[in-house]
Amino acid sequence: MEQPKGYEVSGKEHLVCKLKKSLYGLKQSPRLWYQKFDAFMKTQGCTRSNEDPCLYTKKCSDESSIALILYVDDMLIVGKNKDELSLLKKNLSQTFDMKDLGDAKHILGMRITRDRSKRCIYLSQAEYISKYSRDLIWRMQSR
Amino acid sequence: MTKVPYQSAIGSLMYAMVATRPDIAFAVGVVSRFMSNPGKKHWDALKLIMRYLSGTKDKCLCLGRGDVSIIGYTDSDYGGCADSRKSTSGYIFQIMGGVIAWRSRLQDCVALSTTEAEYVAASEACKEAIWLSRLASDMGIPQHVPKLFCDSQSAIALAKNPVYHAKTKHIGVRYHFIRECLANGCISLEKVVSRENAANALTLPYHKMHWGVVIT
Repeated sequence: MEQPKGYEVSGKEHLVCKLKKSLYGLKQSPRLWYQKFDAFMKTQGCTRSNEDPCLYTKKCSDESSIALILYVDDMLIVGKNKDELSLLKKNLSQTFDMKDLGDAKHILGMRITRDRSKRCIYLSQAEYISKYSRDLIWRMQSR
Repeated sequence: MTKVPYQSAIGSLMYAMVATRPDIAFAVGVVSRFMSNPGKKHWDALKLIMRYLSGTKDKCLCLGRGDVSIIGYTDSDYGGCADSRKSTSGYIFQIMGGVIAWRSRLQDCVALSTTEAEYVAASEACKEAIWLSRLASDMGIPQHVPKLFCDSQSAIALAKNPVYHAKTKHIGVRYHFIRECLANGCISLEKVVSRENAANALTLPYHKMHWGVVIT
């Protein structure tokens, strides 16, 4: 890394810093984050899908499976086996600074609604659309 | 026209289109063709999409009403782009009665017949079908051969029966991918009547008739 502004060592401006670990904003940081997460998931007995590198699955003892879907640092965990689910969540929160938001309500600006009596899941972007239209009107007026 | 936020408005529409709104995919695709130099009419069209979206913002995707096997629909228009005379291909995939993947895209080549346009669209859909069925199996959803529905009898015939014909001899090698997949049994291709083809929504401007099929 180049020497940070204001902290250059005088007379040695041509030298660069050797990093001991990753920093925010580096070109490599997303990759390092993914490598770290991938290594962790492998220790949990999960397998990475060949079709989508952000999908991890794990076979449980009762033949059901757990799926974890990763989007940068947001994730959804799906599965039937409650013990295995809470074990995975516990291990995740021990390794990473993680918040468990309970049943998924929102992901990437989409609202997830479940109707358990009809056994249906609804995905909607109503909030995004209203926020965006207000935003656009505001921008039009300010020009 | 330099004063309107045309590009960023398209970007915002595109996010809705990619995430939960297959019904505006074709319309967004059309206005995106004029990104570099938009005119008044293009901006008006874009505002119309905005208004449609605001008026129907509570529409959503619904999953969980049907069978776990993957069903795909493919469709194309013919020479829809006025400038290049290229056709638009569209496909839509459903699992458990819910829409999970869709695309509306201007084709890379100029199709000489509606058969060719539909054939190209079916080939594109075929690639997605194979990937989706593998992904579903990986997620622990057991899959049979994914079914692809096409509303063109001649495109289906062309895919199933490799005859050499003066009118089809020019079709690029890559589009014959679907023949191999059909021969291997990776996918199955069947006929559907046009009005029941869910992929209509991806090759026609939005219309009420698509409600309930692609969004609820």
